[in-house]
Amino acid sequence: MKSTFGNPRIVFLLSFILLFISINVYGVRASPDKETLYVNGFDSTYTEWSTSGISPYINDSDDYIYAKNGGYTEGYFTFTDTAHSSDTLNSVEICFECYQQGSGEWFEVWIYDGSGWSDMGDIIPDTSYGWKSMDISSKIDSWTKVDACQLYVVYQKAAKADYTYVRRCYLYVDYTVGYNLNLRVLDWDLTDAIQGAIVYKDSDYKISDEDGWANWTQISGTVEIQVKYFGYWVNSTSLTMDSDKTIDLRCKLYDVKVTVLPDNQQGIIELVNVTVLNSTQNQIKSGITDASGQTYLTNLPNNTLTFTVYAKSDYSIVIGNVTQLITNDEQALGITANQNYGNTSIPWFMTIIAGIILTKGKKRWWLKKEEI
Amino acid sequence: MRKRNLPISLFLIFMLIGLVLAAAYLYYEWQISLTAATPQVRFFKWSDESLYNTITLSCNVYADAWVKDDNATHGIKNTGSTAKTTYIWFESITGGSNVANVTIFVRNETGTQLCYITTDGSSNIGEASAQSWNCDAQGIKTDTLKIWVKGASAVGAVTINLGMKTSE
Repeated sequence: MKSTFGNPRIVFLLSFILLFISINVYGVRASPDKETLYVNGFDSTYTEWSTSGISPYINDSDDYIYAKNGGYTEGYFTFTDTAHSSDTLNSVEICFECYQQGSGEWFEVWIYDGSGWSDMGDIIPDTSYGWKSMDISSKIDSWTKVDACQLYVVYQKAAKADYTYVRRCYLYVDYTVGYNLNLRVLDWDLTDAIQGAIVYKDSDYKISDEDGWANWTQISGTVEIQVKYFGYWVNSTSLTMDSDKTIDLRCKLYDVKVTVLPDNQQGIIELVNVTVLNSTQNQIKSGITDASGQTYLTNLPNNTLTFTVYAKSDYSIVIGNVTQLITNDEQALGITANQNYGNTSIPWFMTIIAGIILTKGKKRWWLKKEEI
Repeated sequence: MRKRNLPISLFLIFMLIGLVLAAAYLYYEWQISLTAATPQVRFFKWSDESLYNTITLSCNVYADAWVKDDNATHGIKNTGSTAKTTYIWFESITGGSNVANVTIFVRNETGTQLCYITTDGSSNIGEASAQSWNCDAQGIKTDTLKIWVKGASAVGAVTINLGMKTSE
């Protein structure tokens, strides 16, 4: 009987299936919120422990270090760097696979965080190989410190003791997968970047920079985005952070064309200041009217705003004041300057020839030129 | 003492009585009226298209700011069949310290500036500073008026009397 594996077609099919499975298995990531960073280096600063195998000795189960003399030190060991700087670091543990031959043995764990060394406590091995861990989050609390982390160990023992062996060590990093969130605050027609807006991400907030950006890292889950400008909410958005995102926030910030008119509505007024205030009397925007009596005020919040018109060279005299709901972009607004003005009367006379007419006699005597 | 000739005296008396009666006749029988010749160039009111010999324009004035009325309520129309050289001037100004500048422009219907007069409230006052333009016999066409007034740093009531006349 011919073997199944002797059939080339079946072999080809099985190979294809195995290839498919291997690709998919390879593509499945490990738990996205845990990472083990094994020891990857040993600089021989301290070499009092005995070693077996190849440096750095405690990176795999074939090699190990061991000691039985109290106070013996071994280090410094370094760890693999992480690639999760955009994620949220939750906790860091250091784990040792170790055992003691006797009893009453332990070793001190010293950790370097990039700026100094700290005694993180003692590890007491079991009498057979097993994993022991220690939380070092109090010292290693950032990805930078994770990458800078180094280790040395100091063997300690009670009166009666024997060898302690350590054959593997790693940092066990717990994190939450996070993404970059780049938000750009723009006006309604998406032409102006808005500086100084308060951009909320849930309860956290940032102030948009001169290019309108408010950026976060290590963001995951669903977040509520809101934008406040001069005290008014101008955007509200919900985002699901399942990838890095760069988003333009189109805010209800409208451009308004203001025309200032005299009280009698005859003509326009040039060279007056139009200032827009919010409800707490903070200035949002101001402009000077041009030869058409107009000023173009950009990026006003969608709300009821106060427009005040000032005259005089130092703009110290209020000549008009209105409150207006701004509801759409390119809104036209006329303001009548009905305060603190004078009236100019301009009588105009046509000079003509006048005379006496005797209507019955049909005779006329021109007398003189005069104004009537 | 010199004696007056009686016939001559009577003649003078009758002459005097005759003049009085003639004057009385003119007064009672003839219609004497003071009237004016209708001028050829007149003010034209845009809203009702009526013509006037006298108008009063008005303008609000604000501190250090220009009020620019580029299409005043009235224009100037030559109703005749011949062109007239027309003169305009500031006759007098009351409260001139309340304005920094008053300028009156005359433009034709296509917007071409024909003439203007300007004052800072005290200068260029009187007929001697009149400016002129040739006001065409335009039929339905009417020259428009622009009135620009800039207030002084403190404003109040101003009265600006303007004059206009045409060549004979």
